Amino acid sequence: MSKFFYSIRFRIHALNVGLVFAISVAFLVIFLENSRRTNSKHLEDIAKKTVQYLNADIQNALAPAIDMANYVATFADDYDLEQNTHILGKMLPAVSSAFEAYYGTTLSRFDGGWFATATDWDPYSTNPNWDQLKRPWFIYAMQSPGKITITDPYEDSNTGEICVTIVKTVADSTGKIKGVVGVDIFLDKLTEIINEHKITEDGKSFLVDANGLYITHQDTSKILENNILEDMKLDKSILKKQGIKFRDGMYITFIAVPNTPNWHFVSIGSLKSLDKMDLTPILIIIAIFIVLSIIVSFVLGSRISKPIKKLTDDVSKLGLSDLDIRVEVNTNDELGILARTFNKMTADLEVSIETSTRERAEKERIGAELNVAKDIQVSMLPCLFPAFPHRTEFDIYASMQPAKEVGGDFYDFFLIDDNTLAAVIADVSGKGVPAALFMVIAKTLIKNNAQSGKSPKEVFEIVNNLLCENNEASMFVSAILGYLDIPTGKFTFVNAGHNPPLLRTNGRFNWLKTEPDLVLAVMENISYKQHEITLNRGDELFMYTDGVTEAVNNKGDLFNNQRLLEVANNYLDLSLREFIVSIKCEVDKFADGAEQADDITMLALKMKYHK
Amino acid sequence: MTINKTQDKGKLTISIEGKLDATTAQEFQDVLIPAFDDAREIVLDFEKLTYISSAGLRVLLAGHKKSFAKDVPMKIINVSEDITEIFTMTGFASILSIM
Repeated sequence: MSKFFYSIRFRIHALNVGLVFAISVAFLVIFLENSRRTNSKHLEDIAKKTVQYLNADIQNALAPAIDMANYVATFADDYDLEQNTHILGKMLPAVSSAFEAYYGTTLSRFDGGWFATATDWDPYSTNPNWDQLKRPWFIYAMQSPGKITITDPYEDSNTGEICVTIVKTVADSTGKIKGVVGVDIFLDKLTEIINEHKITEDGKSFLVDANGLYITHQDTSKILENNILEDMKLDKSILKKQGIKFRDGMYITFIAVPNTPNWHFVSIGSLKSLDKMDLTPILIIIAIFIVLSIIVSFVLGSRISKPIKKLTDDVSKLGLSDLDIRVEVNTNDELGILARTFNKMTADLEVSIETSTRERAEKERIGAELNVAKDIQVSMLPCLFPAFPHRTEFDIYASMQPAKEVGGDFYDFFLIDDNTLAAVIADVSGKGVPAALFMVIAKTLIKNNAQSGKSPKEVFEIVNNLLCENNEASMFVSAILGYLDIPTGKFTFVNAGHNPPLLRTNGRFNWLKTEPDLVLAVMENISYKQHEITLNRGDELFMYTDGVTEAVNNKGDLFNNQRLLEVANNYLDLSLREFIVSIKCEVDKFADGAEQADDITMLALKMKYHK
Repeated sequence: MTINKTQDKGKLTISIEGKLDATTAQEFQDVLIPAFDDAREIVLDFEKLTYISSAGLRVLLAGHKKSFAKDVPMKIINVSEDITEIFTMTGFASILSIM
C-alpha cells in the first residue's frame, strides 16, 4: 500500500485540473506559434514593400537625368565635344540639384567622343589615359542595355571616394545606343538611405552584395570589409533564395533587390514590438476555464465520492460478529453493483458461517462423544494394580495405550474360581467405532463364557460362532485365552490367530510358538486347538498386540519381532509393571516421534511359587 | 500404496505395491469388492506388498466371503516371507487360496 492516502475525490480533482491546465498550455503554445508565423509573414510583406520603395528610389534617382540624356542624345552628334560639354554643363546641374542625395550626374558618349558631368571635372584633359569605356558605370550600363541598373561599389576617379552609380544606356529616336547616363551615390549617403528603411523598431538594415559583403552598415568600418555570412554564421545558400530565418530570438529577413548585381536587402530585428502582444484576454479565458473545471470536478467528484464514502463507512462497520450490515447505495452504476454484490457476499457469508458453526459444533459433539467412548472402553479393562493383592502365588500386570481414536485392542483377566485365573489379550481388526463395538461384544462374550466353567477351547468355539453371526462388516478378532491353574502352574490356552507370546523359562524369554488357528469371527464351526504349558517358579508369560511389533518410525521401519525379543531380554528381573513400562519406552524411542498408529496392549503374568 | 489392475479376458490381476494398513485398506476394498461383479477370476499379486495390517486382512476376508458368494475364485500369488508369516499366524493361510 502507498505511504500516502489520496482520496478518489482528490484524484478526480487533480486529474481534471491537470487536464484543463495541460489543454490551456497547449492552446497557448499553438496560439503563440501561430502568431509567430503570422508575424513572419507580416514581416516578409513589410520587407518586400521596403525593397519595392528602395527600388523605386533607385529608379527615380535617375529619371530626370534619363529624360535629359535622351533629349541630348537626339542632337549630340550635331555638335562637337566642346559644344556638347558646354550644353551639358549648363543642363546637368539643374537636373542633379533635384536630388541632393546624389553627388554627380554624368553623361558620356558611347564612342568616347565626349564625356560631361554636372561638376566641372574633365578627365580627358587632365589624364590622357582615362578611358570611360573601362569605367565600371559604363560597363554595368552596357551589360543591361535599356535598363536602369546600379553598379557595385567602386572608387570614383574624380574624388577618390567609394561610390555606386545608377546607370542606363542612352539611345536616339531610332533606338540606337548613343551613350550612358549615370548618377553617382557615395556609400555614406546610400547607408543613410538604407538605415532609414528599418522594418522593425529595434532592427538594423544592410545591403549586401552577391557574396554577402556589406555595402552599407551602421558601423562604416565594416563596409566592403566584413561579410554578413560570417558575422551571422549563415550558409551561402540564403543568398540564392530570399526568406526569413529565425535565430536566437531574431528575425533575419533576406530580400533580393531588383536591378542590382544580386544585392540583398537584409533586415535584422527581434520583433519584440510584434511579440509584445497582449496575452491578458487569453490568460483570463484560461483562468475562467480552470475555475469552471474545478467547480465541475467538485460537483462530479462529490457525486461519485459520496456513495463511495457511504460504502466505505458501511463496510468498515462490518465485523465477523456483525454480518447484518447492509450497504445502502442504490445508484445505477458500478458502485451500485458493487454494493449489491457486497450485500450478497455478506448474506452468503452469514449463511456460510452459520453452517460451518453448526458443523463445527456437530464435529465437537461427535469428538466429545468419541472421547467418552474411549474412556468407557478403557474403563472396561481391569486397571487396578496389584489386581489380586492377597494372591501372592502369581503376579499380573497389563496396560493398553490407545491410539488417537477408539480402537479394538483389549485385555482381560479374572478369577474363574479360587484356583483358576483367566487371562485374555485380543485385537479387533480395524479401528474406530466399529472396532470398539466389536471389541465390547467379543470381550463380554469371552468373559461370560469363561466364567461359566467352559475350557478355553470351548469358549473360543462358542464365541467364534456367535461373532460369525451377522458379521456383515467382516470384522475379526485375534485373541489368546489362557487359564492358569494357580496351584500347579499349568497354563492351558488357545490362540486364535494372535501374535505368539513370549515365555520366560530358565531366565530367558523365547517365543511360545504353537500351530496357529484362525482368528475369531471369520468362519463358523472352527475347531480350536488347546495347548498346555507349565509355568514354573519365576517363569513369566508376556502377551502383546501388533501395536508393539508393528510400531513404525519415521523411516517406515517396523519395530518387529526380533527387536521385541532382544528388548525383552534386556529388561529381566524387573517387576512386571517396570518391565511393561520399559518395553513401552523402547517402542517410543524407536518410533522417534512418529505418531502411534495402533493401540499398544501388553499383558505379563508371572508365576511366583506353587503352593 | 499403489494399485494396478490388468485384465486378461475374465481374469483380473490386481497388483499391490507398498503397505496395506488402516489408511490404505479402504482404497483396496473399493477396488477389490466391486471387481467380483465382472471378473470370472481374481488374482492378487502381492509381490511388492511390504506390510499388511489387520485392516488389510479384513479386506481380504471380505473378498474371501464375496468370492464364495459370487463363486468367483480369488487367488493370492507371489506372497513374501513376512506376509506369509502374518497369514500363518492369523490362520488366514488356511482359508485363503495362496499360491
